[in-house]
Amino acid sequence: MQENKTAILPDGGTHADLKKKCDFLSNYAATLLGCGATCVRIEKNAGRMASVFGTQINLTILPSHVLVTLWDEKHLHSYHNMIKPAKSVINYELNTRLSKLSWEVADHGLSIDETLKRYEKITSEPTYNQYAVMLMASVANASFCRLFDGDAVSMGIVFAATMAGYLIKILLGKRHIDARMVTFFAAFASTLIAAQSRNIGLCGTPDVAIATSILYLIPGIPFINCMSDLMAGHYVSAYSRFVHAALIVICLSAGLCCGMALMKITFF
Amino acid sequence: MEMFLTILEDMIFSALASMGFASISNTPRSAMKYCAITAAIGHCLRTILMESAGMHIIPASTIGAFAIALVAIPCAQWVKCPPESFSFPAMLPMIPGMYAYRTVQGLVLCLGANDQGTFLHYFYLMCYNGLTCTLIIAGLVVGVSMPNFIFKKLSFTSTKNGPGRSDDL
Repeated sequence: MQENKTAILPDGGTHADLKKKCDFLSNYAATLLGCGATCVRIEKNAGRMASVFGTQINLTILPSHVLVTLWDEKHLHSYHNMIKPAKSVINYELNTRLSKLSWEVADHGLSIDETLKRYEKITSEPTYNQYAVMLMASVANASFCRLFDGDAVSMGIVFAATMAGYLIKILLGKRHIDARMVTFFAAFASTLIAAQSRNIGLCGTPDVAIATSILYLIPGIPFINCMSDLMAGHYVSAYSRFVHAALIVICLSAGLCCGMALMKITFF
Repeated sequence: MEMFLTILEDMIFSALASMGFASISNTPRSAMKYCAITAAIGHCLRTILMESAGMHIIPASTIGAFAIALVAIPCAQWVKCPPESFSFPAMLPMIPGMYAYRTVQGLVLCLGANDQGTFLHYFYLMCYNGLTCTLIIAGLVVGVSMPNFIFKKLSFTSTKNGPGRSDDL
């Protein structure tokens, strides 16, 4: 025991260095998890950098935590950190840039300080303008309506319904309201607007308009990530992603059902 | 000619849909065009298989996703992005959203049923839609993952500048 103390205490440099690397790698893994990366990618990217830093990493990815144990090269000292990812949305730009960072570290042997500097820069960059995304999502949903054989009037109605629902999503999101509640209200608003297709004589496919008006809220990426984690053997993460996605579907279905009930529209 | 126009329309609208959904996921701007191309290829292939070959939606979606991933891997090398950053949004037009919420609607209506016949009818709809939805998503992921396993080295080195190493993870 005494021998261990004397081995660590005079060697404060190693310990501080290990701590800094462990802190960085745990933050890196948590950010990747938060932005929608699959568990396989998180493990590979973090492992790639850890080996360049002259360390060995043991990574455990849980639904709302990331656990990192970092050993030094000789397997004498270790540092452990448990971190909770910040609540964020799927962000493939961040995913891409963080993956590139891991290769920059591997190829150019970047120091931990330089890596940290680049990491801070990447994570502070802004995402797309929310209102531009709203417009693109509306065009996408109107296109979706067409793919389900909706006519031009239905497409116009779906465009307007998506705009209204997405606007509510943005406004409620800014007030930090729970994502599931936001989904419910956005689906409700979109359904109310799409239901007007029944009152417009020109609309030949009102059912398609109502059914596709909320498809922009379907959590497609979490569903795909869930199956991807399942195939890679990350069962806990897969289950967590599935439950999250299923809850979103339940909330949007509830919003749709309430909207349809209010407008006295029957199901199926 | 009519079939050609249907396919062309299918490609255009699935490309538009995938780009819009990709913007929600903050896909890199440089990858947007590849997202549109891969979505158009995958969705039109699914439509052809379903309309012309009479294939069921589950295997047709799996083959569509496989095609998306096959095209996405070389595209990822050019644009220096992980393939999933645009192959996953490209699959979104094939995500069975309708089946997903019809499953929940079936459950809600089951609970509100007054007699056994009505209950069984809605229970059947819930199970049918739920099973179809789950198997389509599973098929999509199996389809999109297969090329990643076959070309493992290329998939995980796409964000690297220069050629991949033999010991790449």
